[in-house]
Amino acid sequence: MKLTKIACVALSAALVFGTKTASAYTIVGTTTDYLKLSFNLTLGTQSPTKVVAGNDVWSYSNMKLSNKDILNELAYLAQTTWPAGAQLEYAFNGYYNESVVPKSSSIYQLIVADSTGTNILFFAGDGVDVEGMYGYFDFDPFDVDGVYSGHQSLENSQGIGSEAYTEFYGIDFEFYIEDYGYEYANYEDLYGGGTTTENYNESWTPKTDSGFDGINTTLFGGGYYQDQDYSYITGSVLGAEQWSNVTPRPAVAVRASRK
Amino acid sequence: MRINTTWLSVMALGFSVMIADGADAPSAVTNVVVVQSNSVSSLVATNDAAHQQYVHETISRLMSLQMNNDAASLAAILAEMKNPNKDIRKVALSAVIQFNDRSAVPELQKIADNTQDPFEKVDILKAIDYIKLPSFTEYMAYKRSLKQAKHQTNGLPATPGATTNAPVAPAAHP
Repeated sequence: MKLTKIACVALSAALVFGTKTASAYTIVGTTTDYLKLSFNLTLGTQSPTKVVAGNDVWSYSNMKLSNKDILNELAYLAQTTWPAGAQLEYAFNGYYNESVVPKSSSIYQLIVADSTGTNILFFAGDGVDVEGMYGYFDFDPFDVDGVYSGHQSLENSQGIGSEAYTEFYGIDFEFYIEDYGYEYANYEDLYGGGTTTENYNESWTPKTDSGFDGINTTLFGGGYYQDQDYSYITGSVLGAEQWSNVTPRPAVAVRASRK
Repeated sequence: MRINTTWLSVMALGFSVMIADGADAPSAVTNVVVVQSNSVSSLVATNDAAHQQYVHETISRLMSLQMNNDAASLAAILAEMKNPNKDIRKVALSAVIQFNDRSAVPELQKIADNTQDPFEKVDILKAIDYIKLPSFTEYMAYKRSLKQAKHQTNGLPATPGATTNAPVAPAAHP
């Protein structure tokens, strides 16, 4: 028994020490309510006109723009690298680590989180504004309220209830990077709009709260990057949040009822 | 369409898991109790709950694996492409796309060749086409290398790289 206790203490110490040494990145904030995002975008660019047998031939080429590409661009913007397992999230509540970021408000925005999902490494919506580098990725899948259908049950005497709805929104996005340190070494400005369909389901008791929140965003737009003046961006962004808590539900969980 | 169907399956799955885990539905613990009173019907319920739990955990694992960059993670994702559960296969395909590694293409092609469901086959072939595309990262790296080379040719210093993601004081934007 004694040996077991010693082993447990040693293991705990190792875990704590390991955690501290592994955390080589600054945690700039935390979030407890977020959607994990998957970007599946295609960026089309106009190719130079070719002359074939005296005729002009026009064409374009596509490239993919998915999570890892966006993470790479955000790392370039923040002039850093992300730890393995870093992910893109839309935080419903992004709390600043005030010892690092001198702000106090909670904010909805796109973030880079570590593999835990709750530690924020970068507020992409806030972006960067430092000597030689300016940019941000503003992604708001809930920019314009649309119509919704669903229901919210009245809590009965046992405190049991549920809520489910489907809601549509207009979106807004802009991914802007201006690296003006070396003769405008990089300039990107991709922007546009689209639509979001959100499906939300939640049920709760005085002691439990479980649910699912998902978005399917269809995105389109265009803009500039590097020397490409003509581009077209299209694709989808999927987001998912699932929870099953045994503690009383947080007030923030019910969103439709705030309307 | 591929993404939409994947999403719908995840949505449906999430909803079913939510029902399974929800307060108004029998929980896993409740199911065990029910087994003692009605062995036949509740055994099915227990298996169903366990299955939903398995599906949920597998999907969560896939969503974590997709953000890694190692060969073992890709192999684990590709292995789930052969899972008998269609929902898991769909999420695994989405994870392969997010993993963003062309080395997955030959294995995906084999899986497509062995897939009988025509819709699923088309989804896999579309995914292969997408994975084969040049990535934005590759394009930007190429363009930056050209500009970097130009600066070095002109005798200018290389772009300094920061070593932390801690925010720095904002500078005046021109």
